[in-house]
Amino acid sequence: MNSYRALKAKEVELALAALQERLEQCPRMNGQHAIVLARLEALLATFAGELLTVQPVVHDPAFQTLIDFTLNRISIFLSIVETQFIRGLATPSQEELFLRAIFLNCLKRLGLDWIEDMVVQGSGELAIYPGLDKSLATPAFHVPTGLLDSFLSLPGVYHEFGHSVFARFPSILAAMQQMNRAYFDSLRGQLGPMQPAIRATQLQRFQQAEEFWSERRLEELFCDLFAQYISGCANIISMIDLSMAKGRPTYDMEDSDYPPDAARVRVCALALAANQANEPSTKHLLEEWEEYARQFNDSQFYRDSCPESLLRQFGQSVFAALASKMPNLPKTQGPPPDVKVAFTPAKVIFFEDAIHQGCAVLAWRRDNFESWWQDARTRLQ
Amino acid sequence: MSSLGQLSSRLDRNLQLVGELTKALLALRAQLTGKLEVLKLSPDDVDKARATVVEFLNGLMPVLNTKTAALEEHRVILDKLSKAGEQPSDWADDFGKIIEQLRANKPVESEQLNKIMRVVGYLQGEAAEDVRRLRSR
Repeated sequence: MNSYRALKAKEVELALAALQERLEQCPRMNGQHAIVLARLEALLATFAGELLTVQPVVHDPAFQTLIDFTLNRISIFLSIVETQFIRGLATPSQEELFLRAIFLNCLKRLGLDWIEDMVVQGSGELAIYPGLDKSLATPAFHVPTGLLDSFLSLPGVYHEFGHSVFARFPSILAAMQQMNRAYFDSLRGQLGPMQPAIRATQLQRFQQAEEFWSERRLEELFCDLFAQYISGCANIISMIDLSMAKGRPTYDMEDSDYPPDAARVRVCALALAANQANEPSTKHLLEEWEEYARQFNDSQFYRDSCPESLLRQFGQSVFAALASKMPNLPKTQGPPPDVKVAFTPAKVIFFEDAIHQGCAVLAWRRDNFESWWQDARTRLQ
Repeated sequence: MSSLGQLSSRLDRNLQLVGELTKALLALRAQLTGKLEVLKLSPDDVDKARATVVEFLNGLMPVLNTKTAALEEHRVILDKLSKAGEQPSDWADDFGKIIEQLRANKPVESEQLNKIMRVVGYLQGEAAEDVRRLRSR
């Protein structure tokens, strides 16, 4: 008997076999990508098993929708493996392999020890595919070509690592949501006597502001704060660059995935320790950004949703959660190091230190930055 | 920085849920149609399937009653039901009955399984939409 489901099942079976063959052909010199490949191969073997299991009922009308769900889900996974992993596994460039080694070392030092291996794939923008089939062990990391030439964007690597942390500790989202609810509950509680119509309008404003903080926006805000925790003043420079380089309106509330740039810069600035906030170079840059932001008009909706008091509380909540969930995660407590440190001879330089030192060189010895960075990147570890 | 990180986390969670519920519904449907042996499933698998479905519906019911969703997957279901002109509280009532039957080890009817499949279908549709976003990045 023939049926659409039978045809589709055959198509999925063929696509699965083709992908299995491509994985088999991936280079494995010196154990390169061994864990990622083993994991993907195991996943595809599971799907092959699922296809075999449902085969006897593939024509049965009582199971049609469930067969559709099964085939669609497997197709989606195959598409994910194809788009996120295969190119970086099959034909990795020297740059991709170099960055993979640096990122894996960095992850180990930061204590993200659940990540066992990764694929780095040049795909045009900085991004991460953190989890596959419930496992955060083997992410795919996407980088723009020449990532290391864009020094100001390097703290963005931590932002991407942050997505893995956010997925690893669901209680962080719960804490942020709880804090958001408590904040607006408190505002509602402070409303004094007023006419019912005015009260209703006020309550509606609070409701809309509270709902603005969707899970997606909270996740991005968390990732900004995660990068802030690790890289302090360097992240502020990166956030300012993110806001100013593309000329985006700082108070744009329309993006359903991200908070407005103004909230992202400010939440990080508010999380600075006093000695970081008062560091002359950081202070100057923040003043410059505030001046830049003034050319755009904020809205009542922005002021309701992203007041400084709420942003400050988000920062405190995330920093407390990180200290509790990841006690070994190094927090940058102070301002950028003395620029002399950057020019002290050293055989190797850790990625995290390179970011700190590079910011000091950019601030105080800008003319030497190019030669410093050309040398430092060959020593990166 | 791109939104791939959160998009993929959401997608993966969604696919997990759809996968677990599909397997559970397969087992319940197989029991209903006498196909457990054909699908190589045991009564133990049916028990696990009942527990999976009860857990899912238990989490969903208060969302349908209060129309407030903290989790993305619940928000998707609530949105799609509302857009389809359905009363979420009616669905909560129906799901409440299904939970009682599953807990009492009573068989569930085909129509009841279809009802659960409809909300799982919403999640599947959202996953397909997320993959489309992934491709268009």
